[in-house]
Amino acid sequence: MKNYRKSHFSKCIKSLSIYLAIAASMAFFMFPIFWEVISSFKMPKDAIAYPPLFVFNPSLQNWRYLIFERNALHFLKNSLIVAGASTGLTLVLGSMVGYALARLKFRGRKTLTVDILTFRMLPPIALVLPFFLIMKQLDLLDTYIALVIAYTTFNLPFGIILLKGFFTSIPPEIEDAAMVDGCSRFMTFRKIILPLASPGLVATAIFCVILSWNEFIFASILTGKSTQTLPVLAAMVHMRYWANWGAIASVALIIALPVLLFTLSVQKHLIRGLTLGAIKG
Amino acid sequence: MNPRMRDSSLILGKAVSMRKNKLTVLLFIGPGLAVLFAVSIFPLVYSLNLSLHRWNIIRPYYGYAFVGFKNFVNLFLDYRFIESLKITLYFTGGAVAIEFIFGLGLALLLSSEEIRKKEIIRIIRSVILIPMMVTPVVVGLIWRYILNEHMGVANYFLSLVGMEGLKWYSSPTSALPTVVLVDVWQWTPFVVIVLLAGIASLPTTLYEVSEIDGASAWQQFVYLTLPLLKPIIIIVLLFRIIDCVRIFDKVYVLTKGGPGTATNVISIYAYRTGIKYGNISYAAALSWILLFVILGLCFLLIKIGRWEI
Repeated sequence: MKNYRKSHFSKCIKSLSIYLAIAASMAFFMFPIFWEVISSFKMPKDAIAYPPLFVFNPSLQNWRYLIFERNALHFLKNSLIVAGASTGLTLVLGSMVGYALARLKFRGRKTLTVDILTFRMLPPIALVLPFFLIMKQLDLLDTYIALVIAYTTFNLPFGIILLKGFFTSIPPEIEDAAMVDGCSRFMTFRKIILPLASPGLVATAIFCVILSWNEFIFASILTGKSTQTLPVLAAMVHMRYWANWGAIASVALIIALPVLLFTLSVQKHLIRGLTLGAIKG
Repeated sequence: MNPRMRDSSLILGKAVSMRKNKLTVLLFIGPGLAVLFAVSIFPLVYSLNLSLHRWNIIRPYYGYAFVGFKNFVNLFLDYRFIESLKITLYFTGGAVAIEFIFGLGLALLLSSEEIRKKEIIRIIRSVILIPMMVTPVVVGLIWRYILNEHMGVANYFLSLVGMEGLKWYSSPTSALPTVVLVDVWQWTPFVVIVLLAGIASLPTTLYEVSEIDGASAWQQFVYLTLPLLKPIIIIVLLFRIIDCVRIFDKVYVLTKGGPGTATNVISIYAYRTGIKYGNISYAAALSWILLFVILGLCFLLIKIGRWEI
């Protein structure tokens, strides 16, 4: 009897401490987000108050400042255009190469796969410098094209690898059936494979959008007044008006919120897409 | 190919179908590879060529001369480069180590008997993705706000427990640990999620058998869990190392490489040299060295990936 009580007690302590540890970790990860969201609704003078205010009068002043005085919607538009174009390009080109790597047999197929994976890992700074010079010489600075091409640099390899995985998981019998019935490779690809791999296309699109949306270093160097994207706005608001922390919090939210909402809402599709790619047949 | 065409190609021999096959392959991979070549390989080659010359974009009157490997030699004699190597090393080592230990611990806790089957795990798994998804620039800004020495929440919390406020990113000594902290915040969830999946896939039978044989939890961990997770652990570590070596956004927004040169990681140093001071050929050489380091790590990753998986 005594032993039972003792081990039950120590088990309770163990459970409690596990719960505490997890709760503390979750608090650590979630607090900055929470703080960020509420701070964006603080008036500038409340944002820099010390001790920091947890209770305050909410105001939309930061948002008004960002949208009307700093023209945040212009940056938002640029981010959308660049992310969309780069994603589209990646999907079109990447699906073709991915399909070839998955299905068509040709020499050097394995090494190509490996090389493409390596591209994904390149340090941005190694590409930014030559890109800057090249775009300068081509007079393409401050254009959407420059940034879209730059983002394709890392979106395309990633997309190729991801899509290759999805194409590999589609049973080849379907393609063979189609081709026996008279379809060319390309027609099979377009009419049969692509619709079947749509979860994979969606997953790739999601990753590409997120990568392009969050990208900073290429954006800050290759863009000018008319094409700057949201991350650049964030850095700018910080540098010039660095005392205006409320506005900074709002910028942060404008950038992060679309991606977060987008990610969380398509999470189901994402996971389904990823696991579909992993399961064969 | 309709049946009639197939018959005729059989008659014509393999040559026709092979040529058609080659054309198909070209059609599919041609456009994609061409673009990839243009946007990846070409700039890299351009950059390599640049690093063998001398070119300053702020002072173009210095001229554009071929200097061979002089840039690379100068780099290794440059104390600031060596310093930035050291800083990058400290940052990478510290960040990856903490992310791994913290992440492994959290993953183990979440996989423990008490927690494993609860509904809350699903919520936790979704929610813990959030730090990874936030734009690095934004992460830097948020933490810059929180860790501000005058009115940041962090110092407020410290004062509540009776400690003095810290200088976080404003002091040369604490700036690098601060950057490590921010990276830990953003990327530990990655380690947690991957290791969680790995632990979930471990065979339970081994654990049951070892428990019958009298193994303690610690022994189970050291002799069962760790060895079985080794391939996943190595891959996670390599991914994080490669990402940490490349870091730029967070450091730029938090400290811009400062105070002084306290957080002058390689990417920031290359950026400063090339864009701010205009010495773009030197910066190109610098970025190529970084490239080699990362290519080496990638090579390792691929080798190990082929082994274990």
